[in-house]
Amino acid sequence: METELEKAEVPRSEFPRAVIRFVQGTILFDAAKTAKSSGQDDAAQQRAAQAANQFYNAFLQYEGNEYARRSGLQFEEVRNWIRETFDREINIGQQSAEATERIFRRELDRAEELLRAGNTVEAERIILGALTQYPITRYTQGALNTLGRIWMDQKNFWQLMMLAEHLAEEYPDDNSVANMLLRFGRLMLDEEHEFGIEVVLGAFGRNFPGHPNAPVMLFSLGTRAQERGEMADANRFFNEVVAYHPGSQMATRVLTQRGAEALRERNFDQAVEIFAQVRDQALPGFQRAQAIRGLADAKLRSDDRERQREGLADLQALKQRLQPADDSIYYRGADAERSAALLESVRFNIALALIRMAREEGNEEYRNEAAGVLARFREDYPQSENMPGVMSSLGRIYLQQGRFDAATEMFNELSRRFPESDEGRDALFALVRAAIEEEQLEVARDAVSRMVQQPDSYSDEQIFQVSELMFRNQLSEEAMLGFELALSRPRAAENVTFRQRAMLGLGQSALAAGNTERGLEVLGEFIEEFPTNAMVVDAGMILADEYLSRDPPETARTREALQHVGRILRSRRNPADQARLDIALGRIALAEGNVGAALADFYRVGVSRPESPEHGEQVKRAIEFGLAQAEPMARGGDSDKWSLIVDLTQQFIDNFPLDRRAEQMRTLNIRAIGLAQD
Amino acid sequence: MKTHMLSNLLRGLLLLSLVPALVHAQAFVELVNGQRVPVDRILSRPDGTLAVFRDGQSTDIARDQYIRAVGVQPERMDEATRLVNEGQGAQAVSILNDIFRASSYQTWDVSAGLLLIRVHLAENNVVSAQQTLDQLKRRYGDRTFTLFPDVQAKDWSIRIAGGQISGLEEELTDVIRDSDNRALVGGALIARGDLKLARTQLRPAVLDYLRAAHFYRGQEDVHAQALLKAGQVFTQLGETANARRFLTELRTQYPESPYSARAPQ
Repeated sequence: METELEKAEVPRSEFPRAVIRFVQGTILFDAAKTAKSSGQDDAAQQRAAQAANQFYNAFLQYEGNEYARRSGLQFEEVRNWIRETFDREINIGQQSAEATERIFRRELDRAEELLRAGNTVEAERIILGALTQYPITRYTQGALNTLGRIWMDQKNFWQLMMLAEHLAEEYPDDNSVANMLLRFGRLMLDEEHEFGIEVVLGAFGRNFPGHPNAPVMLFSLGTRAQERGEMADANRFFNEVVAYHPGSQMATRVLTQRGAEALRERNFDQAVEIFAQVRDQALPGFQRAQAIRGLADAKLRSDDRERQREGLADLQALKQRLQPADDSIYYRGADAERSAALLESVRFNIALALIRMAREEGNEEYRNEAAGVLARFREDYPQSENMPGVMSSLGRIYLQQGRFDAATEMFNELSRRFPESDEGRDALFALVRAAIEEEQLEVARDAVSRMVQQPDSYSDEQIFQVSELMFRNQLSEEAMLGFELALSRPRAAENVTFRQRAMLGLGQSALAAGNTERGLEVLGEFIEEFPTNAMVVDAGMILADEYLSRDPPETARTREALQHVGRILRSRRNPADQARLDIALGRIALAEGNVGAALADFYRVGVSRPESPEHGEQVKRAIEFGLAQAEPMARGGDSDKWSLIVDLTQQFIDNFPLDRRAEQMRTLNIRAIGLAQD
Repeated sequence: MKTHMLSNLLRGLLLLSLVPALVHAQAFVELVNGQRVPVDRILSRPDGTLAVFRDGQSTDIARDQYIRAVGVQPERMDEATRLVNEGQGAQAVSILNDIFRASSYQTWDVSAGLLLIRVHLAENNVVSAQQTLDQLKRRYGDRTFTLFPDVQAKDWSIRIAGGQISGLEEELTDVIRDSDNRALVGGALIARGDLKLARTQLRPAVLDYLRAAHFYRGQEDVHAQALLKAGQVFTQLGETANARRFLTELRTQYPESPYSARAPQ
């Protein structure tokens, strides 16, 4: 009969045999139960197997028929009954893929029914069971989606995170899965579940390269981590942006940030490498021009003359390209204004580069060229924000040329026209600073001796600032003279802050100038006079450094100086200062031969999370102190120290990836990992 | 076409039967042509040649003529397994070394080798663990990991224990993404979790264990390990309810497993 129906193209779902099989199965199952209750186990098993057979075949053969569906559910019931009653399994034999999928589909339908009835726990159990038995079918993705819905309802974050990773790795770049992950991500964001956000959106960002939002997602995770101050995590996400989406705009942004960071760290080789990469993948037009500017900047700041010349040539070529023209790619739409500003800044930078190279190479040609560039700049951009810099640069050229009066006049004019600017705030300061920068040290010294001889011609602040400038530029004796002068002024008696700053400056410059007695005296007075002031930290640390640098180190006096520091830090917590104190304590322990205690101090600071750039510097110092001790010990056979080296180098790599020493740390880290014991 | 597909579907499906679960193993040799030859006993020579005995006759099979052989279970294998599972691995080492030697090329050396590696790793003796693994790789060559996915998992464990982890996470991720071998993928998930744990990344580690616990239930060893490790890491994370849930599931589902014995109460 079924053959005839097939010939007539009647759908199998309409075949009457589905109902017959279902009824036969039901009768046989009843018979099995009856046989069991009357103790006829063999007959019961036989009937149950026959019932299962009817249900199973009805289910498989008549898809779409209501009784086929019911047979599927009944089959499951018979199977469970046999398992529970006789501890035996139904042998289904090898199934075709189609049969497997149909069975799986039936399980999914059951789960959906349970879900509709609100029984999420049982629905979850059935889906997981089905996935165990039939891990890969065309319905698997749908089953995982249902699981996701259940776990979202339950706010079961661990399961959702796990599922997100599973889906992303099993179905990369699948649109429906991408949407599932974005739904999970939205929930995590709404719940402010930070780790969940990182896991779900991180999995999305890494596994869906075709999705336009994937790089943005990783970038925003990096930014979030950065805002929380978790730099290691931030760097990891930023690295992933570049690794997984190398040509994206986000990768360009990351690289640009990296380049700027490398410049800040004075890691010029790395900066050049990064900006070259940015240039190669930046969009033609303003973005690429900006990358070329970064690249040129990095080259100009390096110590390699050849590279500096290359940087100058790059800037000059860029200047040509940025000349306004109707058909210029740089002056389209919103880019026009930015390109014009970039051109202005390029022209100014060309002048600065020429001045620096003129000074370093003693090249008159460069100097004249710089003067010409600056003169044209003054004409073309009379209202430029760079004008104070331009005038200051011209003053510097005059100093290079030995034209002291012209330079003085220029700095006076600068001070008159732009009194609010950094360069023009104080003509004397500007002159001395330019003189120092141009290595015209005699001019600078002259200015200070004139200041000391005629103190009344100068303001107290001028005297203080010039002294500080001297100190910063290692002109310690002149700095000492200046600070002594500042301390002798009436303002030092009236204004406590001024007095404190001058005393600290005097102590530091006296020590630097080799006048230890005066330095120690002033700093001692400072601590005595202002025992609770925050600057005691600096005074104490300067004293501690001085005592530790003696041969042999004076540890008792160091400790005494640090006691004052410790007292301040108890009431004013500052991670950077605390780190300085801990490092100093480590150095005392080292000086006293207690290497273990010293390492513990360095390690504690070295593995702490940098909370500010200043703190970061102390963390770096502690890592270097720690490695300087631990590495020779490890190489000498103290293999426990390799683990400590792993931690310290890892911390350096995670937090300061662009530091010049990062590569060296990576090499040491790999070596130490191989040698570290559990 | 539809009728044809349906016939295929029906073939082999109509007859269901009830079967007991226990399957008995017999010694055999699997030849390179895929033929499985049942044998009574196998002796192996150092170069991998097998002397196989069947019905009182013996034949030599050279190493390049067979893929693998499964010999008769060594007498003290169960005892050694029990000792290791009960945490008395040190007492099992000499038995396992004997089996490892005497049952070379007969698969039982792999079982013994895996237990030896487990004992060595538990004692932080990475060098001995590595030596055992190397010996297995020499015996089974390029097919080692394909024939015995558990050995691959041990290779990962040794690398993690020895700190040889450069590129390992990427390698494991490739296996997880691309392999069709579910036992291998489950093992890779556990290993990736272990790797993260070694880096003290507790929360990322637990996600890999959870994944193995949820989606690799069919691989009993992987599943039991995943339940144990998820429970342990949740304990470390202070998530006691989650820890209890997974450890209870472990004890209920695998009461006899060595992993259950290691589960904290």
